[in-house]
Amino acid sequence: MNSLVLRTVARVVAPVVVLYGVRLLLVGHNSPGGGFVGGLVTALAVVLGWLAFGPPPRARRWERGVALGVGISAVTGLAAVLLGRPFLTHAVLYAGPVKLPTSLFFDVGVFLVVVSATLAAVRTLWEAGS
Amino acid sequence: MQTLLLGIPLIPLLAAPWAAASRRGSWLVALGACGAVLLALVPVARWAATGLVASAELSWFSALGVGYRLRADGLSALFALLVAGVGVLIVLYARAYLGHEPRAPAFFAYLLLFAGSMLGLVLADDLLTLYVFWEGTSLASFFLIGFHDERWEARQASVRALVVTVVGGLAMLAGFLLLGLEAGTFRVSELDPRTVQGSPRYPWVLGLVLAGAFTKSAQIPVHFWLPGAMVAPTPVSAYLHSATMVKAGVFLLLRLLPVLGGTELWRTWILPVGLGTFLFGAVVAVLQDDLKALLAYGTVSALGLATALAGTGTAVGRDAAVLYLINHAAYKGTLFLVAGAVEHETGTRQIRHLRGLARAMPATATLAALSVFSLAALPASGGFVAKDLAAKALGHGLEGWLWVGAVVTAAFGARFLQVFFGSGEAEHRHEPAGLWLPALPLAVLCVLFGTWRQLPEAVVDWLGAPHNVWPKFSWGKVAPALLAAVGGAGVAWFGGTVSSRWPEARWNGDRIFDALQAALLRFADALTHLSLTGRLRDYLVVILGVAAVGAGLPVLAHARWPEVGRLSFEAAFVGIGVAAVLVTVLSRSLVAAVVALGAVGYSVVFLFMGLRAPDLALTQMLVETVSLVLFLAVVTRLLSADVPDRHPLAGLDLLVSVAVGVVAGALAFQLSTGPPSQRLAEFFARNAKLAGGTNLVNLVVVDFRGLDTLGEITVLGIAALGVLALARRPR
Repeated sequence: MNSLVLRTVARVVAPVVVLYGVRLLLVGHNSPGGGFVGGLVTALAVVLGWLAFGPPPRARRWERGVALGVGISAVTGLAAVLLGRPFLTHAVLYAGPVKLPTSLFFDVGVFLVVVSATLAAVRTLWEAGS
Repeated sequence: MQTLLLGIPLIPLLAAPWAAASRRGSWLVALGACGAVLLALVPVARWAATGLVASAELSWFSALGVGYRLRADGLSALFALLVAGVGVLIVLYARAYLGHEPRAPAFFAYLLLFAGSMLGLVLADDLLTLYVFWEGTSLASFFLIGFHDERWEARQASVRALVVTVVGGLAMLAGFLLLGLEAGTFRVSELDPRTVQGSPRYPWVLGLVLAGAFTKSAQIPVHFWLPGAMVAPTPVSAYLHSATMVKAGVFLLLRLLPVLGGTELWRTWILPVGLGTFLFGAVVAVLQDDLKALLAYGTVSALGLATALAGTGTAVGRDAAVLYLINHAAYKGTLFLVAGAVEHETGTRQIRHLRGLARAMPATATLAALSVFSLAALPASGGFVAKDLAAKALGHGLEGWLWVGAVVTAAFGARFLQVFFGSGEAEHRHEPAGLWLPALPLAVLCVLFGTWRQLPEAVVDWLGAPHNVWPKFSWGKVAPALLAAVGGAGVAWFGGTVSSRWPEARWNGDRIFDALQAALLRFADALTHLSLTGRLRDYLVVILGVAAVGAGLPVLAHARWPEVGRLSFEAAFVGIGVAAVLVTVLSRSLVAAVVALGAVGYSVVFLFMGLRAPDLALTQMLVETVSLVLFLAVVTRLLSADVPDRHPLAGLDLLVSVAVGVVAGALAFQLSTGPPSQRLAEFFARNAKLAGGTNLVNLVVVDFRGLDTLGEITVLGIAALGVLALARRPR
């Protein structure tokens, strides 16, 4: 798809949307958002970039992102086990004025899985079609 | 100090990956692990010798009262010593036997996997711990039988062995669960015989446990896996399939003897099977022409006798069984190692092709003679002591079986020795020390048990009921033993002439197993052809139809139907959604259908907004968008945008779609209006503070229901991998 309008728009919009996706991930604890939604938004921004600037580069290992995400989420649960609590027990940490729930790390894993899985699907179907 | 016990099975299990990873030194790792176990067993053996019982446990499923519990009484200590001691010798032997086998590290890793599981099995004091280790030995046996996996026969034999022992093992697990529930504990040493035997479920418990014991210890009619297992490398045959693993069944009987034994049922169910196997195995052994097959049927026979001894249900029977099993490990282990050395040097195991090996392999021949001496239970051998006690245990009624068995046993022992006598062209054969030295301690044990009185007495002493086991040497006993041996030699000559003309059995266990397996595969094939039409729509109809019926019947049975209230602005979105559904279904263009489907989704987004659920609306909108993109990518790039091949309203499709819709709607309605979900919502709201957030939806997703989410992202990841694998077809 070779469109000047799309490229111009995408150059500005895609990075902003990626940032918005990350913001959704971070604020999910208190307002609408979260890892799942944030991941979808980020993935869509990347797809927008692909649409504007041509097909994605080859040989991306999306399955690694999936594995990393599931791994991060599982490890955040295991941390509680190491401290003698049941699997996936979360706590709220305070770093000065910043409130940091450990479930955020869990959500990061969700985010990674959603981004990787979505992009893997789009990318694979894209390639299979062309 | 007693917690040391817990580590004993773990030493080989942890060493297994190490052995697999190290290349040339894998045998050293295996040797070190077995040696370490032997060292660790020294204090355990000391305790056992003084009548102390070491025990230790680690909590596992505390809610179920199940733990990783080990306990070393005399019986356990004896078997553990046997496993570790023979293990050391087998590792030494295997090193010479395998030579430059490139897969030796895997071999030693499997061997360690087995050793660890077997140690756990004999030391276990918890029914479920025992079961786990039990299946561990089956698994290791499967890998080792199929070690030469390039051969069909090896693969098939390993599958036969695995299926038979695992099916038996599962029956045993059911028996264990019943037993644990009846007795109120899974701790073997705390099972109360009166409670168990008084229960109406006692026959079930006994039958199921026996199924496990009989399959593992190769009793007729499921004995066939054991001769089949002889395709394994010979060290495996010597270790797993004669000296240790196959004894697990008898060990289980002995372990549970105080709980389940001593009843009439115990005797009548076990004794006939054991004695039948004893005679059957011995007779078939005589007719074999293959050295290892001969020994395998000999092992079947010996396991039969040991089972029968356990089946007497008395303390003498138990002692006789243990003494016999230890002696059997010594002589049969030696014989297997000898057979392996013969095959290694001559390249064949056929008795009719082997003659006069004694000249070329004098040490091997001596070891064989020593062990056959014990096998035939000649006086001053360990076999004699064991069989004397066995005769005492069986009593006058059944002693006759023992004598018949002794003759036939001596016969196949003589058949085995044939290969060393006579004259043959064996001049250029030689014997590497690595192939006979490891067998030496076992052969010496054969003689020691018959000449050194303290040894068998110590064994019986460890078992806890010291009584006199040393036979009085009288002609009344010696003469029949000698006669049996001489008679056996005669039978052996006869068997040798018959075996060459013996027609291959038409319906032995192998064939029946293979026929059943083939029938199962044919059935699966037929089912596959019937159900897999190659059309996605047919699958969807089946899957959704089953889901609709399965979920629909219970839902419709307790249906509460919504009362139609006043129409509000939501009705507008519902109307848009319905219209979009109609467009989707009736559209003749795929692209239009996909876009209309998107519209259905977006109408739901507005519905969520109206219900003040921003999180849901956001998620719904994004999912809808991504799906739309994916759908369009598929439709425009992969498919031709033509009309579907079948009219969407055609018969069954319409019925199933409507059914699914109705059921899903009813389900959603029930779930959102029922009382339990309301209580849950209150719970989440009350505890939101603990999770440190205010967005309840997200808190549920990442915290309250974190495990669900972890499962979901795993499924999502697997689905993505599936897409990758499916779409990246080799071009």
